[in-house]
Amino acid sequence: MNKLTLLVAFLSIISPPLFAADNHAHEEDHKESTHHELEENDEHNHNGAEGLTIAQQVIDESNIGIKKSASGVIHQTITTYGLINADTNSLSHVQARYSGEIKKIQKNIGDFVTKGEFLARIESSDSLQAYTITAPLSGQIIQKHANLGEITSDKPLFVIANFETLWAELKIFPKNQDDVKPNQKVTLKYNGESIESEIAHIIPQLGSPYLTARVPFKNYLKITPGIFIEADIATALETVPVRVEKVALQTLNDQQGIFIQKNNEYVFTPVVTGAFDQKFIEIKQGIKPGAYYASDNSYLLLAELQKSEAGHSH
Amino acid sequence: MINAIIHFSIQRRFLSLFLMVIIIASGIWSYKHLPIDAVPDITNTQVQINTAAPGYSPLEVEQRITYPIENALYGLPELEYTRSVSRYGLSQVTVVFKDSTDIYFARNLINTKLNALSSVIPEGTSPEMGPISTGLGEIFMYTLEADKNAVKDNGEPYSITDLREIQDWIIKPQLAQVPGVVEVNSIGGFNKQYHIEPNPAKMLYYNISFEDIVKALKANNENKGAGYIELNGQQLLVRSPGQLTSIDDISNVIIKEVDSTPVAINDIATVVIGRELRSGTATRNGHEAVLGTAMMLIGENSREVAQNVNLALTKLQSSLPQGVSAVPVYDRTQLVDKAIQTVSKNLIEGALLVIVILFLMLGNIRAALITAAVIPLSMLMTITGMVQTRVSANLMSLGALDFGLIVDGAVIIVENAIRRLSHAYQLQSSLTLKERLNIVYDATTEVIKPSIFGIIIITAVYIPIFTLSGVEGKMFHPMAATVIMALIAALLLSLTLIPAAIAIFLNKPIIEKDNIVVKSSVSLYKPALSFCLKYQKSVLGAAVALVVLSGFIATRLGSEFMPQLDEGDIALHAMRIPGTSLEQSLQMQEILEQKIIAFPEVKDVFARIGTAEVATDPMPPNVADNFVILNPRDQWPNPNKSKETLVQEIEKELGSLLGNNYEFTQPIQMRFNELISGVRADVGIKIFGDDMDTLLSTANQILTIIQSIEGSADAKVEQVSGLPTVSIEPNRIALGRYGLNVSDLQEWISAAVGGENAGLLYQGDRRFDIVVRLDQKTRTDIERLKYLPVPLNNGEFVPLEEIATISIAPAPAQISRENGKRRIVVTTNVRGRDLGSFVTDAETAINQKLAIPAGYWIDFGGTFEQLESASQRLALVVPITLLFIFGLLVMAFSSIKNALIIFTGVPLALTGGVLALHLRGMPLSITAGVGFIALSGVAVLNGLVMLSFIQALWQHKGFTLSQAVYEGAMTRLRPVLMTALVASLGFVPMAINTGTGAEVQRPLATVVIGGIISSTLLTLLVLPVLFQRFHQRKPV
Repeated sequence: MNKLTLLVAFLSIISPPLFAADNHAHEEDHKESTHHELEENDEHNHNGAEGLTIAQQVIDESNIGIKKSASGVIHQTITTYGLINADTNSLSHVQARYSGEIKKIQKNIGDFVTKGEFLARIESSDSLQAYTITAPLSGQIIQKHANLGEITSDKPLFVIANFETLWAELKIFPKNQDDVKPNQKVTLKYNGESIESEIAHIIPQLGSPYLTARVPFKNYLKITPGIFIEADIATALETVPVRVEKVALQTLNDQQGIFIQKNNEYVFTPVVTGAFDQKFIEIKQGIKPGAYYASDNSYLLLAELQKSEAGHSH
Repeated sequence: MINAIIHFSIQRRFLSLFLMVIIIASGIWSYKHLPIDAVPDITNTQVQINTAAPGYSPLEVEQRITYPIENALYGLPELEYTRSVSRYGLSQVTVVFKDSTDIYFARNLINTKLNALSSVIPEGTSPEMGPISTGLGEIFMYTLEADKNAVKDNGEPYSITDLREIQDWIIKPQLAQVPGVVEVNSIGGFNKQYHIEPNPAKMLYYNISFEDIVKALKANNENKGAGYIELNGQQLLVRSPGQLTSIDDISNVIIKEVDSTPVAINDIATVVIGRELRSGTATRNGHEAVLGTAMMLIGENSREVAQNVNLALTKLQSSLPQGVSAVPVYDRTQLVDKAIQTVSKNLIEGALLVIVILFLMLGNIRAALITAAVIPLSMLMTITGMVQTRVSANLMSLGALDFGLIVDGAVIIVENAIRRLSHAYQLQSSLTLKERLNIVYDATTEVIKPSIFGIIIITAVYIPIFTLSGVEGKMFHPMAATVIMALIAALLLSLTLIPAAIAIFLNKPIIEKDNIVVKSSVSLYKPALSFCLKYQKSVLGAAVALVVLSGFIATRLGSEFMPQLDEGDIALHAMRIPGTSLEQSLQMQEILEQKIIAFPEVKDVFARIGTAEVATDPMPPNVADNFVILNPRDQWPNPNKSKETLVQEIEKELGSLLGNNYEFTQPIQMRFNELISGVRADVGIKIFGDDMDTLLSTANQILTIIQSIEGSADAKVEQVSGLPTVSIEPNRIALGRYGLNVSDLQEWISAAVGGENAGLLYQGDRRFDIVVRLDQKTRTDIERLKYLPVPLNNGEFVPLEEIATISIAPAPAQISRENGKRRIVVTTNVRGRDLGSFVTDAETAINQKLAIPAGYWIDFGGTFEQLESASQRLALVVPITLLFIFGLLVMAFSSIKNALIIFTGVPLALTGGVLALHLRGMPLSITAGVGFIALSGVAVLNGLVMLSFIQALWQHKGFTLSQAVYEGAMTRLRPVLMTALVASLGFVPMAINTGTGAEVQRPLATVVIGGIISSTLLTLLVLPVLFQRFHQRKPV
């Protein structure tokens, strides 16, 4: 009897440390997770389902910007590309009315002329009468096929072009055709600078999927025709009742929403969005104008809300 | 045989002494080769296969790279299992081999397999094995700092990209030369790249595609050798240099001719020094930094390597540009030094205490020194043994060495020899050499048997430790091995050196002085023993009561796996929600670090975010590994503040930061966790299968079932989703209308957004990628992405949105696989019931309630497996060990009764250990368990010494039973007290030390000290009583 008791006693005392050791590893886990649970419960009690309570100081430290939603303008734009062409109204192939000998010529290629300025004097071969050719429009002489003593032919003597006004022919593909209309503002971008203008008219193309929006513009950047250019078309200039900064939008559980501030509470509010531009987005549903919302660094709020999910798995 | 050895040692005593010289020499040689580290290496035998696949999403990485690699590894010999993660741009397959596998053999096998793979996986990706390192490998880290005023040659301040360039091309090549360094890993900053950013409109205008640009660059970037010519006896090499060397060179490359006008790169694009699409970065003290990590080759001496790296780093400072410096931020040497300091302080103080006690008790300085000589000698022999068996010196392996235990055998022999010699000198004033030698021989042989038995028994009790497997095994095998080696060394010395030394050095007449210590103990012991022998029943009753009481206390003690080594530094994971971008993470990290560095206790804080160049730990960008290096304690405002308090304070301070989750740990611990990984909950249910959605829904169903089972706690499904992805899905009909193939579109997207590699730009050794891609602004604005013009074959274009649907959708952030199949894990802890029945219940419930789809299967795992197998093994091995010891005792006495009486010593010895733990408020742990094991051995040894003597008196010398008991007990008082005192005092420094690493050894020492006190009392008081009672009834 005694042997057995002793053996059992020894066994039971020798073994617990070894067995218990493993048990404890879990115990620690338990503790940790209990702690976690408490924290989560805490959140729920205080803040409701999708909200947080955060002290102002923390908001400041985290550089979270708080803005007020308000009505405002949304500049909706689309980006298109197209070619620059010369305005057909600003190009003139100057020809001799009666062919004859060129008696006098004053302008050379590259010269700028104003409308009505003397270009050449030609003596008609038929009447031997000399007559004057003047510039039909102001512009630059870009071609010259006339030299002193030559007999004029059918060829134009001068080609005068005025590139002060050019056409941008922007291609409008089906996805945007409904939005693009004449008189819409256009910003043409060239070498980092931009030119403002408007769509003059929209022309369908035969056999092509796209429409061409023709945009005349003042060429103070000295663009040559034939260049390929990028342009933003302001398709809508809408005044919406509620707009917020786009950076405020976050996605939680596949739902877009905004963090609305009330005192120290930040509640994730799902929203339905509408038109948007570079900076703002229209809120059709979800919040009222005058609501305060988190804009810059609002991601931190989302991160805080979901942080129980943040884990490190290997 | 034993007697013959002793005889030989005494006869050839000078030869025996000469042995000592050999032992010392080999010990010193071995010491130089002994790998020293702070903790044992618990990493399993694993090889990581990393494949960088820039631009590939997790799904593509898995399909194109991970799967073929895993497939190729099937059937490797010694393979334990494979697991893998597929992340953005990275595939990592971890191959775990059986523990005994040679790492180089394993790597060779994998290498062969990988070579055959090159045709299967996508071009441009090549699988590489991770560095040959372990969890202890990250021994040294440094960051690069530039003075605020420091400027480059061109007058600009150093950017983070410049610092990275210095790290990669100046520092790394030099550190990689340091012996023992297997890899220098860089993280932080950007790899310098030359970016060609074409304007899409201009590309259309000139009708130039990305392909054209790449082709032009490749065709204009080569040096060519053209043999040699001989000129007037001279040999002249001919070469035509044509490599691009600068931004200007690149700008002037002609792409093609349009209307007889050459179009150069700078006509349509800007060329800039750009930033790679990186997967990780580093920070230090609140700003972005470049961090280098030196990794140590497996099996090297970490202290030495870290020191050499430090030295090399100091030396190379002079090669860095003015104002730039490399600052060490983590150096393993410090930890190892501190830990070794603790251990050696314990050992030296213990040894000194032992010598003092020996001197006090024996009253003879020579005898004390002879005994004490066993300590350094057995230590040297142990070191030799450790080097031979590849056990590294660390807190664990050296932690259980108690010189008291080691000298026990020698103490008994020396004590007996002194007693006998002085006895002889009392009879005759001088002895001849032969007489003296005979006495020494007799004295030795008289007690050698119990000594040998004792050592064999102590060795035997360590055997169950060898059956621990996995992490516990790796932790405690070295400890058991070291102790056993030390004991065997001591045994060999007691057989040879001790008798020889006694014979040589105790050559003068010895008179046993009336030692005050011995005298006073005798005067105390006498009445106590008489009392006990008189009130036998009460004494036995008290003993039983004590055992019962301590049994009760034992159940009330807390428990822990093992005390965690305090590395002195803090590591913490800062985790943000999945999908958080690297730049956002970086921003959050900078605020976090500013908070941490504000603590006066903190010296340095640095972090790795995401994945480093060599993906030893593939973290997503939302996770940061922070290292918090603390100031020395004396510089703290309150040097007595505990580390726990500090951690709590930091945690509280960081708690206010938004969007971070934390996990506090320590640098080495963190690395081990990362490498070993696996399921860390009680029960893990792995679901294997193909389709992520099915896996997830099955997992969620299982979660519901598990939660309904009694005892389940913290059940959760592993997170898999959550990486937002911009999906540009080609519209095949629209593509057809415009005459494009899907691949045309995809290649265009990949080049425009991700960039296309167009060769390298060489500057000396340095080489930088030349990449063609759209400029940052264009390619990152999702809303404008849809308007981007995609070129058509006829020179026209079409906006992207006409031919593809652009949407943002969540996609798996990572795909985890195990043994070649996708898997998802449901984990749960179990509370309030035993694991075994929980698992059975869970299995039944899942089988009943859930129809798992065909092609899917589940597997139960988790810590319960290890626990179960460990319990089973121990349940078998512990009784066998006890039986074995019992058998030895029966052999020694040829009496079951006596063996049992000695065995009673064990529970009483354990009593003291339990009480000591209780008094110091320590929990039970494996280290304490090891203490209990050692204790049982000592208890048996003490009982053995006492009983064998009483037995001899009673049976051979004709004493009556009670006389024999009384006389025997009185005679053995001194050796029993001595062994007890040396064993317990030898551990005292360990029990009270507070240095680095002391927390690991403290429980063990506490248990042994407490236990030995109770065990000695028992041996002296209860054992004689028991012997008398049990032999009274039936005289033998």
